[in-house]
Amino acid sequence: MSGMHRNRINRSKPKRYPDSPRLKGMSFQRMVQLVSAVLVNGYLVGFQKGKIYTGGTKAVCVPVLNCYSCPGALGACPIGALQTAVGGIRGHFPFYVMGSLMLFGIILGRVACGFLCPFGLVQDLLYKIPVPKPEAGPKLKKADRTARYLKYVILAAAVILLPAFAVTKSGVRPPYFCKYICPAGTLGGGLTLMAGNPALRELAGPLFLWKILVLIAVLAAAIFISRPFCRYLCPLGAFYGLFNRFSFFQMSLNKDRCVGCKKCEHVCPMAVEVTENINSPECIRCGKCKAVCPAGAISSGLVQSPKQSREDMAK
Amino acid sequence: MMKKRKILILFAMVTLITVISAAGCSGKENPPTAAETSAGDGDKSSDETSAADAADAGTASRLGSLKSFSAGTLDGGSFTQDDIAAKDVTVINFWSLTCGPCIVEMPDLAAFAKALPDNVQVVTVCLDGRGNEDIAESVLAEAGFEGATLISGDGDLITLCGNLQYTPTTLIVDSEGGLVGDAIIGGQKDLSETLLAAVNGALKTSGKAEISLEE
Amino acid sequence: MRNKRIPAVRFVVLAAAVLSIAAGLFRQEHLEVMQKAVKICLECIGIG
Repeated sequence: MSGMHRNRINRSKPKRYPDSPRLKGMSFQRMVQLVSAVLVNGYLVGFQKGKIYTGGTKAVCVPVLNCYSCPGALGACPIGALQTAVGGIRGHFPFYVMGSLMLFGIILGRVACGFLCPFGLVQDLLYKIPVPKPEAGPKLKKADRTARYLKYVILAAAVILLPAFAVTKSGVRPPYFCKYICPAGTLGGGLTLMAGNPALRELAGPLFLWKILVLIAVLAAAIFISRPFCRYLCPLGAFYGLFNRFSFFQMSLNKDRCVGCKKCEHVCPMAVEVTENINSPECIRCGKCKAVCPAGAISSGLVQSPKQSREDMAK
Repeated sequence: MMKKRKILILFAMVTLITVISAAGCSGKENPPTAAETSAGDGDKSSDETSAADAADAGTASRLGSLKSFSAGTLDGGSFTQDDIAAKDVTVINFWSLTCGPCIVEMPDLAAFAKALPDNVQVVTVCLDGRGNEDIAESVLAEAGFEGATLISGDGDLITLCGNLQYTPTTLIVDSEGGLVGDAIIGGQKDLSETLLAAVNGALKTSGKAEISLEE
Repeated sequence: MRNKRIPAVRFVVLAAAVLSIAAGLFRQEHLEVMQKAVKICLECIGIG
C-alpha cells in the first residue's frame, strides 16, 4: 500500500469527500466531460449515415482536439485548421485560428484538456480498467519528465513548421500532424466513417495501418499510464499549457491551509507537483486535487480584475 | 451551491441532447435517389428504378445528376447541360484548394485530358475557386490542365456539390447528364487507368465504341 | 516583480486574441476553415 503512494507517475484512486460535488457517484468533471463530448460531436445523424456535418458552425474552431472529419463533429479542429492555414497550396499567417487558440488559452489554459476534450475522456475511462498500474521508479520518472517535452516538438514541427515549409514533390504541404500522428482523427474520423462506407475501406493502405498502430499504442498506454497522449504527444495541450500561468482561470494553493499530506500529488493524473507549482503547464485543471484536499487548501476559478489577481498571487 | 449545480447540469444535458438530436435529424436533406433522377430515361441501365438495378447503377447516381444546371468558369465563360450534351462522356473532377491529394493528382488528370479523343472531355470543379481565382489558375497552369474549370453554378450542380463527401471525387457523366458507374474517390494509384476504365464502361452502357488514349 | 505584470499580460493577450480573430474574419479565413471542414479530409483519417 505504501508502494502505491510513492508512485508519482500514476495516481491512486481519489477518496470521495462528502462536500465535493457529485451526482449519482459521477464527479462534476465527468459530467462536464460527457456533456462536452456530446456537444462537440452532436451531429448524431452523421454516425448513422456515415457522413459529416456541413453546416455553418464548421467555420468555428472548437477548443479541443476533435477531428472535423468525425461524423458527429459540429465544429472545426483547431489543430487541423492551423495546419490547413499555414500549409496547403497558399500558406499564410493563421490570424483566425491562432486568435481562436489564444482566446481559449488565455481564458482557460488547459481546462479544455481536463474538462472538455473527448479524447481526454477516452483516456480517463481506459485508465479506470482495473489492471495493476506500473510503479514509478527513478528511471521511469526521469523518462516521464523528459518525454513531456515531445509534445512541444510535435507542436513546433508537425503542426507549424512542416506544414508551413516542407513542400512535397507535388508542391503541396500536407497537414503533417493530422496525416501521420493524430489518433483522435483515426478514432473519431477514420474508424467511424469506415464503419459505414465500404468504398472507404478499400482505399485504406499502409498509411492507415500506421495510424491504427499509433492509435492502438496510445489507447493501450492509457490503460497503464493516465493521460499518456496529454502528457507526451498532444500539441494542443502543449500550446494551452503555455498559458496556464497567465490565464484568467487559475488554480491556487493556500499555503497556510496546506498540511503537507501530498494527497493532491498522488491523485493528480498528470503527476504535477501540486504543492510546488500548481499552475504548471502540465496541469490539465481537472480539479481532482481540489476534491481530495482534506484541508480545502486548493481553489480555482476565473480571475476577474487586476486587483483580484494580485490577491490570488499573494496567497 | 451544489444542488444548484446538479440541477443546472442535468438541465443542460437534457436540453443539449434534445436540441442537437433534433437539429441533426431535421437539418440535412437526403441525396436524391436513383429513382428521382432518372425520370423519363428508360433506355439507360444506370437510370432504371427497380431495386435490383439500382444496385447495378453504381454509387455515382446516388449523388445527383447534371441534367439541368448552369455554371460559371474560371475564365469568365459559362458551362451548362448543353456542353455536357455535346460530348458522349464528360469526366468531372471535384477538387478544392485545401485538398492536397486533389492538387497532387492534377498533372495526371491534365495528361489524361490531353490524351482523350474528341468525343470525351474532362471538366474540373473547384469548390472554393470563387474568390481565389488566381490560386486556382496557378494550380491548373502548373498541372497543365487545359479544359474548363467551374467555380460557380446553380441547379443540379449545386445539389451535386452539396452531396459530395470527399475530395477529390471524379464522376462520369453521360450526354444526358446522368451519373454513370461508381464515384471515384480519393487519390488513385493509376489515375489514367482508372478513369479510362470508367469512361469505357460508360461508353459501353450507352452503346458507343470504347476509346483508347492517344499518345 | 513578475507577479505584478501578469494581470496586465492577461488583458493584452486577450485583446491580441480578439484582434487576431477579427483580422482573420476580415480576410475570410473562417471560410477557408469551413471549406476544409465540410468535406471529409481523407488525409486526416489516414487515407491518401
